[in-house]
Amino acid sequence: MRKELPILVSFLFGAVVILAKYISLGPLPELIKVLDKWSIVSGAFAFLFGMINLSLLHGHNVARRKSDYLFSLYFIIVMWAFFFLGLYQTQKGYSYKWIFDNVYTPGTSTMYGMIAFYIATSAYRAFRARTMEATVLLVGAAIVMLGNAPVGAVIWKQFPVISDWLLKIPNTAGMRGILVGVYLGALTTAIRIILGLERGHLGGRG
Amino acid sequence: MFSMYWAAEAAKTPPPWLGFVSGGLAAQFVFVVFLFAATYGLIRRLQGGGRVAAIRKIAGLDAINEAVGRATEMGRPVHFTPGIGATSDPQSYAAFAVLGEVGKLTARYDTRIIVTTANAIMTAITDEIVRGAYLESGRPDAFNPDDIRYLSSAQFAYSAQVLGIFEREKVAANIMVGVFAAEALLLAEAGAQIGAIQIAASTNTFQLPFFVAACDYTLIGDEMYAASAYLSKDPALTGTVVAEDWAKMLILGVVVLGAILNTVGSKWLQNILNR
Amino acid sequence: MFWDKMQKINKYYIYALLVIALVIPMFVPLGLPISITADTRKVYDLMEKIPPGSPILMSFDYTANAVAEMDPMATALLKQAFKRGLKVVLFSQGDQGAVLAQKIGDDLAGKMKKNYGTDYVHLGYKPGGTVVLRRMVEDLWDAAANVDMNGKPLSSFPLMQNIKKITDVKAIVVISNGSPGFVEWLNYVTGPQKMPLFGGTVSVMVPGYMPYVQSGQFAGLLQGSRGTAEYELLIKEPGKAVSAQDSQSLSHLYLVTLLVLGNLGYFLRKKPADGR
Repeated sequence: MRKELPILVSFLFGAVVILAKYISLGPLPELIKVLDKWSIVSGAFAFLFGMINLSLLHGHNVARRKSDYLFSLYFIIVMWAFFFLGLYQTQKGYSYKWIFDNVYTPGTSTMYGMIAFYIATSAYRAFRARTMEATVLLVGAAIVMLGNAPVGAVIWKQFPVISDWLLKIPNTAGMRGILVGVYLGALTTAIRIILGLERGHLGGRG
Repeated sequence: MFSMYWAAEAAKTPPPWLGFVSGGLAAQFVFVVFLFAATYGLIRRLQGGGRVAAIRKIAGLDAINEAVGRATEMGRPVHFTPGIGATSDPQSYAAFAVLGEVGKLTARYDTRIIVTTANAIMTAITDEIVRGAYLESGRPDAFNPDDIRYLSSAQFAYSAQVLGIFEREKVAANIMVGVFAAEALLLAEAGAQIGAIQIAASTNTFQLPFFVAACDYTLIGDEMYAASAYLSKDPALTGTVVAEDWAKMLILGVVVLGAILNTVGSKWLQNILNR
Repeated sequence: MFWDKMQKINKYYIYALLVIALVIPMFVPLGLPISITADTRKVYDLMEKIPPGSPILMSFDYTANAVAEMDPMATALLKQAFKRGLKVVLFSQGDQGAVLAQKIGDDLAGKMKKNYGTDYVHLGYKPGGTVVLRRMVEDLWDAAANVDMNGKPLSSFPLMQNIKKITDVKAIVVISNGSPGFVEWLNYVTGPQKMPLFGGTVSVMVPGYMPYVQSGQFAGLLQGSRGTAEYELLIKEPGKAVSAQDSQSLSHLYLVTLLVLGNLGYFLRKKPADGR
């Protein structure tokens, strides 16, 4: 029953959602509205579930005085404080916005900005013209980089032109190929889940 | 310019024999029915002892053994992440299939596995998968629930913590299968800098170039969706992969036909697909 | 010997030089000419062709990490919409985007003397993902739970009286750095409803979006900071993106130099015995 019930539920709900996308007969349109609401509510529960999971993990660190347990304590306090502040003030509250603008935004922008440094080291370390294919990629990358910045046109007028062609013709062709495969793969996976063939997520032997 | 969009309403009524289908979706509906039928037909054929084409070698999946083996030799942990996605993304299910396999190997070799997620439900599922893998390998006592970690739902807070884990725990193998966005290069380059053997899989075309550059093995696009069939060698699952290939051929045929018809100025196929 | 050493160069030197390449132009602008590409002009023309007084929906589908690249883009697009007298419904598919939209919307409205409720309304973020978009097609008010970002009833805004369904707006303008973003709008709204969809995205997503641009499913796409800089020039309001272009030039040049040096080192270093 531990496996059969989830498979039955997946089948029923999966089938209803697929049918409702194409056919608007009988109770289907109303049913799908109810299911949509369920999905919103259950998605929201995941956040609370996550916060409890984190609190248990870090609470455990604090209780056992594990190394760096002070960070765990700090984490628990900040997480719940911001949660209750959000509940109390909502997104338009002054303190909530102040923390968002002055703590969250700079922090997350910094992590995003770090990608630039990682691109620099990986350009130096990893992009090697080892094979013919790698060489084509390398030359293409250099042209697109130069074509995308004003300096490219200053060095050679054709850089932006070639860069534009690379993006619009060979790149588009490759991307289309990958996209068709990706969406088909996703659809097939969905069919496997609905039919109960894909059981990895149920744990243990399928 | 704008009238062009509004004029395209054209023929949005399905043919009479598909009258129960909403307008504009008849072609899609026929395609989905085809895919279901092909899947069902192939599975029946395989269960009846029939044969279909085998899945070609996928180097990235074969390398999982090597990666866990290397971590075992070095006495350092394996890191696995299903990315920042949730259970609503099909890529997550490919991640679960691979994690099941990795979990079995780490249990067998007695190597530590750290799983990090950015979604609480994913944590519960990955916990269940790794626990199951250890149980199946006869070593339930070796499973450490503290190593299945939910870090944060915020993309970059999650990545910052993974980078910290890489540095502190000196992971020897980093397996990334699932949903990845801008944090892809952060994780992959940080993994490369600590010398971990890295396997990545994503269908995100924006991030694939970064994975290809920084990882040892990359599964490109829909290769990852074949993971569960490839690893389990289950004939029913293999059947679904073959059905997908049939559908791909069908689409390719429609693309070629459409290109020819459009070139000679016929809108016949376009109108059919819009009904 | 030299190239062997170069192969093992400390990564912090590479980082430091990148910082220098990015910072120098901020103090000593190079003033390199910025040409306008056809893609940017197309977005500009699309906005220009919407009749004044018509409503559009702007979806701020980006997250706080990308504000450096996306805030100037959103500002430039909204500025032109306000300049042309378009009525704007702001919306976001993410919680962070809603906060960012409010800041930019209120700032610009203040400067350009636009009134909330008649010239623009901010629906905010409504949880539910694509469910909300699907619902907008049938009933936009219901999808927004009948209230704006601040919880005020939509019925109290004159602008919303004529916008009951998503098809009541003339175009969907998306500013996005990932998912959810353009593709969700295309799949659930602009594709089935045959509505124009345009906007802009971060540079890194441009190659992946090219198939949609080429097929016309995205009517126009501003491409990263460079696209914004061109757009700022087109609307004659040079801003942050224009001034960032010199840094972009030097850093791209630096990255290409790294590519070349890395490869020179790879081929000129002393080969190990296994010949690799």
